Amino acid sequence: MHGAELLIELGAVIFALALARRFAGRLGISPITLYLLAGLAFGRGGPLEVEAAEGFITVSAEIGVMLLLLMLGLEYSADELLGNLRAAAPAGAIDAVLNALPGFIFGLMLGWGLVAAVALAGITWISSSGVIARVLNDLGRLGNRETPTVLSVLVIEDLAMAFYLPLLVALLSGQALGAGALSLGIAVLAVVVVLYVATRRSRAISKLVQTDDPEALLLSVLGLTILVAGLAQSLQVSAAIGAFLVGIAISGSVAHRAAAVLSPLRDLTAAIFFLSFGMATDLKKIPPVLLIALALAALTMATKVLTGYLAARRAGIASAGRWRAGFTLVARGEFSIVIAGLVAASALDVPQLVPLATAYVLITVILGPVLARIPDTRWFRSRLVNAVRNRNLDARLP
Amino acid sequence: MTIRVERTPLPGIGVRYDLMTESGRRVGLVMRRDGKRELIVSSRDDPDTCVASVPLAEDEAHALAEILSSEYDRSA
Repeated sequence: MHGAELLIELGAVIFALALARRFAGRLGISPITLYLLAGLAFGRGGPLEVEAAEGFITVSAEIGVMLLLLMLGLEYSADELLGNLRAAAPAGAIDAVLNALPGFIFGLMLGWGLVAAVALAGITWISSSGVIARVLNDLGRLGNRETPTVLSVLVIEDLAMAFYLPLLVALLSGQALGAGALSLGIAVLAVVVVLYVATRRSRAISKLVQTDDPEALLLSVLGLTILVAGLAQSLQVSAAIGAFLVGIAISGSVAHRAAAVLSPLRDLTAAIFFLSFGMATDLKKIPPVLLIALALAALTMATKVLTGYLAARRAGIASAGRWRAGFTLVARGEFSIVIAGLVAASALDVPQLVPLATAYVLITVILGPVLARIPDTRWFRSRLVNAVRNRNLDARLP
Repeated sequence: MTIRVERTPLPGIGVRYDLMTESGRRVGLVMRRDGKRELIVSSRDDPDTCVASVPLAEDEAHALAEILSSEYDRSA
């Protein structure tokens, strides 16, 4: 009987995800939003509590995180990650200060302690590459001059995650200072070695999984990724980072073909990952943190706009483009959920953090694509023209 | 005078090639990783933005390139 129950629940959940995806497409919003909401409905305290399929969903969600990070790594070559590092480093630093710091301070002010504050800093810091890439595409901004600036901020954030996540994992595991520093050291060393090897010897690594048979390619990349992620996990480095590094190490045409064969599996498991995170959030715990989430979202959306504005100004973009870059960067998404997921799975006892993260991501991911359109509106452009005219008039006054 | 074509990497997406025309408009192509390409033309008031980005299929791009590069029949 248990078998039938499992199948019925699983089928219903996946079908609900399909409806969520189609509905999101029709509304023109990020599917992450509706996956999270579906998770709230199916989760503990939700109206459609799922029990039998929970085991499968948990494992799929773990694979989903790995595949999300693997695909992110496959999208970038090591050269792309390191190539614009020097040029984009100041923008990355502005980004980190303006967006991680508010989360950190909020965490401390709420009395959640240092570790939870570091986690909240990560949640408010990282923009959603997935949502933003789609917004740039939908708004026809790929040819715009500020777009490379926006993308380079995203690249730097992803690279920073390779160091931030192991740090968070070390802090969350609550190890003694020495052991924590050791696992952090291993993580940093692994990241640096992989980046170095990937820039010099990417062909050798790609050869390891090179095959013309798509099925064999799928199995080799998936197997290698889960294996490396598991090893990383056992070294107290995050599994997600293990998967990210595999993605960076594989490059060239193999990377493109691997991304093609893996993307359906990623779509399924990543959807289940967002769902599973929503499921782990107790619906009743959201209203008490809603005001905090709104305040934090308002503050860090403003700091993100400022980040994009300043980064684009550094790149020599004119006023309108600076605002476009700023408003585009607002959405937070997958990484914030990954970070909150690590907290949820740890022994850290801050029950408000996960509901806060859920509400926070929902707010920014819904508003992000809407705000990104503001600089294109006639209202905004006419205000901008007036502002420039007034400034010119002021300059002419004695 | 040589024309300067600017090549700008778009991490995770592809590459943008563009050049500034004598009339002050930016014209170019976004070449995506997955092989798709878009013809882009900058806006007159704001050269940072684009008024058009037209997806081109491979044969369409070839046809356009041919018109641009060759002495097409001008009398017709």
